Amino acid sequence: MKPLAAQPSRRLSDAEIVARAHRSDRNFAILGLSVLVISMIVLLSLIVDFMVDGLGRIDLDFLTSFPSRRASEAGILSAWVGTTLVMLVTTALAVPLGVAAGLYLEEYAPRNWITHLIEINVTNLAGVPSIIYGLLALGLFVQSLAMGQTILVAGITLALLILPIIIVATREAVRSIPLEIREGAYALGADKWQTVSGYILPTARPGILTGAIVGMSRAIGETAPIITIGALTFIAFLPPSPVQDTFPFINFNWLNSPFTVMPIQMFNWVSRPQAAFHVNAAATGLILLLMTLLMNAIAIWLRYKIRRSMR
Amino acid sequence: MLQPGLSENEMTAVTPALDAVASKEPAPLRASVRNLNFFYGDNQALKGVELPIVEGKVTALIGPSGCGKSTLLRCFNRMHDLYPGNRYQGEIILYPEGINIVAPEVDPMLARLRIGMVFQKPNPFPKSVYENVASGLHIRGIRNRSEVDGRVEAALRQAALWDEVKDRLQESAYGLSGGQQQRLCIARTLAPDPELILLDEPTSALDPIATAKIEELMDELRGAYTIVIVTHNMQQAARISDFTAFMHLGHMVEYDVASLIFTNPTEERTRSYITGRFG
Repeated sequence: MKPLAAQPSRRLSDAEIVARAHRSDRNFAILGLSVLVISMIVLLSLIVDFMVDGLGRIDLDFLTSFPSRRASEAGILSAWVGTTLVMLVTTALAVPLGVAAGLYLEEYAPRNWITHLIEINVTNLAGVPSIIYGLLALGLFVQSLAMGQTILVAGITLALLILPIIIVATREAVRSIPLEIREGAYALGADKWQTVSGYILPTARPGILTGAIVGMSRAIGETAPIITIGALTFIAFLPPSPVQDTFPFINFNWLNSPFTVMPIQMFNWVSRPQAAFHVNAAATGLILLLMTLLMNAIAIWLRYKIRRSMR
Repeated sequence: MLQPGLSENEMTAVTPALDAVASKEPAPLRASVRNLNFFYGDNQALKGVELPIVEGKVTALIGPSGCGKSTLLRCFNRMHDLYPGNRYQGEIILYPEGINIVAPEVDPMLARLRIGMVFQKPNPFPKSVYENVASGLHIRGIRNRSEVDGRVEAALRQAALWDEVKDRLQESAYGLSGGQQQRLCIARTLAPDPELILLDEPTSALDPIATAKIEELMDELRGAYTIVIVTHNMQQAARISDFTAFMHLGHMVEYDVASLIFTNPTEERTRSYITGRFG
């Protein structure tokens, strides 16, 4: 048999190997940087465009006025109050439910085909188009249960929409906790609930928080499901105040109030022919962006604080 | 020497060798492993293991990687129950009650509430130094502030860590060095006052100075606590253990007074291992 070394390949010198490594590092860095720059330019131009069109329109009157037939007098009071209240309901429902479901699936559920089926479906639900959730809410909450087109229904709908995101994030966060923490707690004699609530959940907080914010950022911009359940596009009043000066000082009537939200207000104005309303839409978009950024900023700050307290 | 026929009289006297160590007194047992088989699924990792654990003494488990020494250690506090498909067969009797802690009807928590464990890698919780040591007490429902304070301090003193951390009790445990973290884990294990302490290669992730401190510490705990330690370091086993058990391929090959195992082992396999011919 012919020896394999019959045709010796030329061996690269060490210097050539190093040069090749540097070259491929640089090539990838350039590729990555250009992709990054392109996407940042697109995003920035969007924000700049909003600012050029809308920044001049934003003042206190804009934030404290109801929508109006006259573009110059119109404001977004009912929209931002509506968005805030809907997000409140969504968060209050989706975060506890999602975290509990994620913990259950990861820590308590028996490893069998039913659990597996549920897990696959939860992951798939995260990818279901939001309008489907809108249709579900329209059929179930608005029509069958006759709950009306209210803040509560919108909050529940958006909570359903982001529930899979929070469940998946919780599971990932819980799964990434080092085995040593878990075993350490059990070895001290902790029962399952003590281990989960005292050691696993606190350690998983930053990851869960990230998931919750990703979900909420998605919910705050959703338009389709809210329109589907029949939110009004023109609201010239506020929901009843959640606080009152007579006992018991808080009330939940606002849950059953009709409402509008920022993206709907924006959509409404964009679809008007008059250019002045387009300026209003740009201003609304800018404020919606700011609200999302603010939410993310709070999350980053919280996560930083939690991580630092654990280091 | 291996004790194939450990019987009911082992409570009072185990072997002549043990009697010698215990200065003619019969050696009281803290625990006793009897014909223990352990299975990871279909894979049998322990085969008919017999081992007495003498009260107040340090028992070292040595043997080459994969011999089953860590598996045996983790049977004592039922750590294997955390993962599905594991099965025990046989007995680990915990004295003085004589309960079999690997019996299926015994809840794993019962074993873990009485038997503490220190792991290979220091595993402090992402909490303060104080909360780490108080963890075992809180888990047991001990919340009385002054009692917890007292026991945390006592445990930290026993673990020779008090002087180093007394001014930073509320700081995160992650700020401590690796050796300090491991002593913190020992303090955490000591605080609930366990009847038996398991150490799974506690110094393998530490530098020689931190290792020396831990070994010193074990020497001080001897007598007050019963300790079982797994180590891959034979010098360490020789330095700190009263009794040494050599395991190979899931079998308990030989168990004896440490000085005898390291100077005059009965079994050829033990001799080969401690002289470095395999492992």
